[in-house]
Amino acid sequence: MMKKKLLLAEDDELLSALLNYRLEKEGYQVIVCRDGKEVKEYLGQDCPDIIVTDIMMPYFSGMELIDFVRKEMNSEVPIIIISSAGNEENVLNAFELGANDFIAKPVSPAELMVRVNRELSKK
Amino acid sequence: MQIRIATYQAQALIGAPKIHTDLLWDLTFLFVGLAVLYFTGVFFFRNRISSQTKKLKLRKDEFSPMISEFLFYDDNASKDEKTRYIELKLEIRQLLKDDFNRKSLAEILLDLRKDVSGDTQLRLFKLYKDLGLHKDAYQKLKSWRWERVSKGIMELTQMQVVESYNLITKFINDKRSTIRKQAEIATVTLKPDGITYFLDTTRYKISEWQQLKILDVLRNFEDFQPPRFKAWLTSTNRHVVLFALRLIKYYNQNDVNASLVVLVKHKNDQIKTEALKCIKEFNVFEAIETLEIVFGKILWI
Repeated sequence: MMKKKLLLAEDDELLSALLNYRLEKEGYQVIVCRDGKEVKEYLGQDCPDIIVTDIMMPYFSGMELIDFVRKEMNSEVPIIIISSAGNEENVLNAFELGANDFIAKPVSPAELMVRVNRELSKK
Repeated sequence: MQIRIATYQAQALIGAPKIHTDLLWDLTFLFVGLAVLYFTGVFFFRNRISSQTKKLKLRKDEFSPMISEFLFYDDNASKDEKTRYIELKLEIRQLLKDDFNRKSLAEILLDLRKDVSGDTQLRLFKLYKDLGLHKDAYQKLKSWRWERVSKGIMELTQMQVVESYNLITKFINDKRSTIRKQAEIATVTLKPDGITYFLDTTRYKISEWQQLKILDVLRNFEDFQPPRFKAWLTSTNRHVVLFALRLIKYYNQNDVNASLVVLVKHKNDQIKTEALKCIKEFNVFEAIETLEIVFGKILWI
């Protein structure tokens, strides 16, 4: 069976390594991007099954990423955003732009798994 | 003629002082030497810091997959995974014999602690103790350097090493304020009844910011049963009284009417104000008589 492709955009190396490990263990093919440039480069070549992105990223923020995917790529790929607690305004803006779900930092990897599985099962 | 003399005198006044040329050369060499020493020092320390950072980054890259495996290890794992886990355990024990590795690993775990929650965070705390990294933090508590002691307390608090509670409470009345404040937060964080010990023991001022931080810790406790804070309204430390009043108001402990009426007569204005706020909040009508005596009837007009 083909593995589902998950794009993980997170600039924190430790956290991305940890989530990458957990997601791979769950059976996903994870593409890790450390900044917006890498994300844009990847999306120019391929489209993942789901995107998990941090709101704050160098070069190209999570917001810009959502906008890019929804408007320029015209894609309905599910997007889950990771945001620090107390960043309600950003989260609301992200939902307005077309994000599907959000998870607050500090992240519970188990909770992220549930949310990713749920979004993919909706497809 | 007079003007010429005046001009001549003025020129003499601003003439250069006579300094021996050798002295000038000596001073030049001295300052050039100092400048060279300074720049060499800056260059040396800068290089040392950047090489340490590079080394730490390499270690982080090396350790992060290991930590992930430890954190997500499942007891029902396959035989291969179990073997890999045991191998990793042996490898990490070997690596931990080196001080720098221990330091790096503790830093990684502390960094990760901020980013993860739930079961993973609990596993992280367990891993920290299983690897014996808390013993390094205990050593830091014995240091004479305040920044090391403070870092040790912070580490033990963040990694929830409850066993360190008795070691940390000793610092509650430390004369070094940074250590003291760190110990106060640790005491309240590590055990839910730490607040009782802290209010009983502290002899120092509790700043407004510190009060907010402690309140934030208490708020985040699950199923926290606050003690009856009226017990500290008679404390000899006026800062404890003030903090107790704020806690009473926050936790809505409205069984303190008699104590509040007494505090209206307190010699400290801040305590008086805080007591008045509580009286207003809890509608303490029996305080009216005392208020009239203390502040006069003019207040009620």
